[in-house]
Amino acid sequence: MKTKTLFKTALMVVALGAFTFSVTSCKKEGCTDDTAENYNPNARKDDGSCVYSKKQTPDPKPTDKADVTGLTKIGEGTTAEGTKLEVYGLEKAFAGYNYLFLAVYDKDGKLLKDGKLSLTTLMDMGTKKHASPVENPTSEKASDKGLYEAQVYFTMPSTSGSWKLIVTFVNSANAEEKADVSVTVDEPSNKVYLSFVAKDDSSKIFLAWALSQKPKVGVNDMEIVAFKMQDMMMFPPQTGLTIEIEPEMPSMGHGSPNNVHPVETSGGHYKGKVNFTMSGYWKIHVVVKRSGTIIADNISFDYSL
Amino acid sequence: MLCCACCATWAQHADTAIFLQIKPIELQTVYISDVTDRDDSLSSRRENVLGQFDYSIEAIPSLSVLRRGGFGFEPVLRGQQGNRSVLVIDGMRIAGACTDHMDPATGYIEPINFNKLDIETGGGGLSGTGTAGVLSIHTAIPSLNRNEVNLRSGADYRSSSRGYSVFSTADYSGKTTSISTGITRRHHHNYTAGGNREIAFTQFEKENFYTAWVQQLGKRMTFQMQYIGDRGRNIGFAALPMDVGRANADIGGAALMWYPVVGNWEKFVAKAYLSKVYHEMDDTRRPPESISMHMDMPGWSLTQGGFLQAFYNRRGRTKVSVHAEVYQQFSRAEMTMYPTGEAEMFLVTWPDITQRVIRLNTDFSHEKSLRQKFGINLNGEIQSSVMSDSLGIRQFSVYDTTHLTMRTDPVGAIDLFWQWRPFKPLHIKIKSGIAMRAPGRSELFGFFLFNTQDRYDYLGNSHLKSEKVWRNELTFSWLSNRWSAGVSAFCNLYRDYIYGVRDVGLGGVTPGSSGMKVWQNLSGAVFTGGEARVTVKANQRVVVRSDVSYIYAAQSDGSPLSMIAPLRWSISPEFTRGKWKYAMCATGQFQQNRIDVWFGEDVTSTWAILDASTAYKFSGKRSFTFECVLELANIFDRYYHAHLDWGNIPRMGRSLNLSLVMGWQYKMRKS
Repeated sequence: MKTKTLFKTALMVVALGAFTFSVTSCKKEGCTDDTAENYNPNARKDDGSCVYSKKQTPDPKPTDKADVTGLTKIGEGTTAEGTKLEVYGLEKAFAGYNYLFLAVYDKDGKLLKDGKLSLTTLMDMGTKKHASPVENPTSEKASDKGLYEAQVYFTMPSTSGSWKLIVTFVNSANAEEKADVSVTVDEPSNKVYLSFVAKDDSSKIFLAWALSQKPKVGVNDMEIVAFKMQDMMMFPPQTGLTIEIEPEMPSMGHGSPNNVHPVETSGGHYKGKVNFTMSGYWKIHVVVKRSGTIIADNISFDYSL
Repeated sequence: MLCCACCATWAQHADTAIFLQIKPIELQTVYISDVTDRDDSLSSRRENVLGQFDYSIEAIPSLSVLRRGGFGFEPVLRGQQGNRSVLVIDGMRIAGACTDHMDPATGYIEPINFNKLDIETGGGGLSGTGTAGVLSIHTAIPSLNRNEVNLRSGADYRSSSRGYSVFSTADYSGKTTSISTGITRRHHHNYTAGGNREIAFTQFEKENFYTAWVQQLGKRMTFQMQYIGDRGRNIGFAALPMDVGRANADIGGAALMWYPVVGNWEKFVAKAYLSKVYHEMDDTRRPPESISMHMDMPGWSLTQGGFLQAFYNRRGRTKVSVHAEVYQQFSRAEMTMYPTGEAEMFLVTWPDITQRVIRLNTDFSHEKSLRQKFGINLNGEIQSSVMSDSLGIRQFSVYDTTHLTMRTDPVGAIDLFWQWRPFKPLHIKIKSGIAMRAPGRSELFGFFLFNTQDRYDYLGNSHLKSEKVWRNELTFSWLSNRWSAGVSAFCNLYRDYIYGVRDVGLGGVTPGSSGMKVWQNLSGAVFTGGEARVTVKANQRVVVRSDVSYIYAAQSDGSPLSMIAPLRWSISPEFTRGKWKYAMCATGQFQQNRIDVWFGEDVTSTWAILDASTAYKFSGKRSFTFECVLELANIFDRYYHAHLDWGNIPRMGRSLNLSLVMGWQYKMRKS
């Protein structure tokens, strides 16, 4: 019965083939992390098999250089005495509250870790000049990475004029050196800075969202910094405010629950929690009060997660 | 014992009735062997091989369907939704991949795939887990040693949806090997409701392929392999703001069956299976002005499992079955929204949920005498549920910092039954048991699942308690030559019933949402009601079947639960003469006043429709059979909707349906 056997075998093969073919995943699994050793560009779904080389961290830098891994250089300058200053940020300088890291090298290229560093900002708009809020390093010693940490609030981007940092460095010999560092300040892609005129005393107040790391879906610590414009050159921290936040996704018309209004910690810093339930464009409405009166309420930050 | 499915053949309007000589397909509830031993035309119904499975399911008295479009109705057993009604296919489990229930597992099965649908209400059986019961589909696994080849082919056309279905099957049954395969294709456009009103977005298109292979290995062992592949696309869902772009399912299983001669142990089975579903929503076919924002919503599910069974049978009177199973179900669903001119929004609605179950099920029954039989069924399982997507965990942390990412729930059931035949035609059966159900994937970890009926977003609650039920059923059946009747009454009392409850403190999320509901445990809920069926065989030619079913459901304070079907009835007389058969079917539902307003339900008026059909069956030479059926469904072109029709989408109006099926049987000489 030859045809019978042939027919049987053919059907068996078809059945087996169909079964195996369909059961094998069309969604190929493998390692999808391109930093891993076994990265598979054809894998569509990560199966947790990624293997990382132990040499992930680069060789330790020679001790005479500051550790600037992960930072972006935003400018540099040299003092009259030949001391070189390099300025880094978490990203390129932007209008808003920037976390800056400065490395000081003497004229021979040796990293200086002792000395008092301070800075001011200057925006030259041609017809006028003004400074902006600055928080100087709290220590007279550089960090373990050899960097001095300061925070600078650029109140506008470089399109209005040109910014520079005026850095003063008092070295171990107590000699004061100065250098100018030109900085290009971009308009940030997210609105993380704002200013308003207080309704009670008409003072100009600058607020910024201090982002030491990018916000994510979930519960985020939210830190807001506030500074007051005393005059064109002086911008002290603004204390004594009551800040209320309300996040919203404008195109969806919904907010998120369980946010915590920022509470003043010190020196114009206010810490709370802001919650994002999904990625997308979020607007954080801000209401500022002082001694019970609302001094600003039509202001907001925004962020596209 | 309760044999239902009388109106299945003359199911609500749209389907044709075909009586096939070859491979009868029965839809009946079975679980007691002694009654169904009888080859009784009253208790077996030869079913519609081309009909859309959705309508066949609906005609079964203990089932109702939640309908959201022209295809893919979600079956509900005695009003108890969700995974309170469990579906298994030859013991294999499958989970839909759509968070909005647009792909019930029954949508992936075609009538030619299966032989029998068993409905076990309440406890019993070896599939465990369902508090309301289990729908068990037995597929068309070919039997050995018939020495024949069967070929069938058919087509049908439905005027209301200007659509057709075609199928082809081929079966070979030899001494040691048998194979069956089949393919189905359906393509339907929008259907028209009463008054010639076209209901947009009720189109669908799909193909289905199945194959099964049985091989005898040695004298007492057989190996079985089966596969069902289903591919659907462009399936409209009129009741929802979007349709299904693609729905693909693959189900495969392999089993080893051993029939030893070891004492009274009859059979041992070892089976492993895998089912994979991919589902994708599509809003691109909707008018742009009706969509607030374009969205992509893909979903994936993967179920893998295996089980071992042992069957013991002592003199046909004492039977013990043991079933040990492990399975794992993985689900993931995402939602990406595209607002104009802004960053896209992304969230995971099923954040990589894995549920693993290990269970042991034992069924014992003993026939004390020809009149009495009793038994006990024990099911113990441990379910572990894990949410592992890190984005999903962060999403939930906004709502509840104590939200669990994993939990382990031991659950189980104990059911007892007693069956008595006080005198010949009367059978009485009583069933009682308690069961516990662990919360399901959406109830625990679903994030912002928008329900289009009540317009609320649903949020999972990882602190839910397992649901408990005390389930009872009393059945009376009367079987005589001239007529048979069955009445089944049930009462399921729930504690910690899981239900969506409005949280007034939380706002909704989806555009147009009315707010947020969180899954909570209600202190109690009750489901009660029953089904009754009468079949009268007036003479050799005339048979009249009728059935009625009713459900009453309430929360512990008496307020109604959502989406409960009202009193349903059907009556169908049938006249056979030679090769011709003529039948009519009247069916309807009464007004449903008991509604949950917070579920967006409104009162549905009473309705009734009438269908008529004619069938011609011809058996020719060389075992050739030919059947042709012409049906006029909804003769009076009524414009109506059933209570469980989501969004009140109207049902089909008058439709003329024609179907033809041909079959050949070739008997082989034994070699």
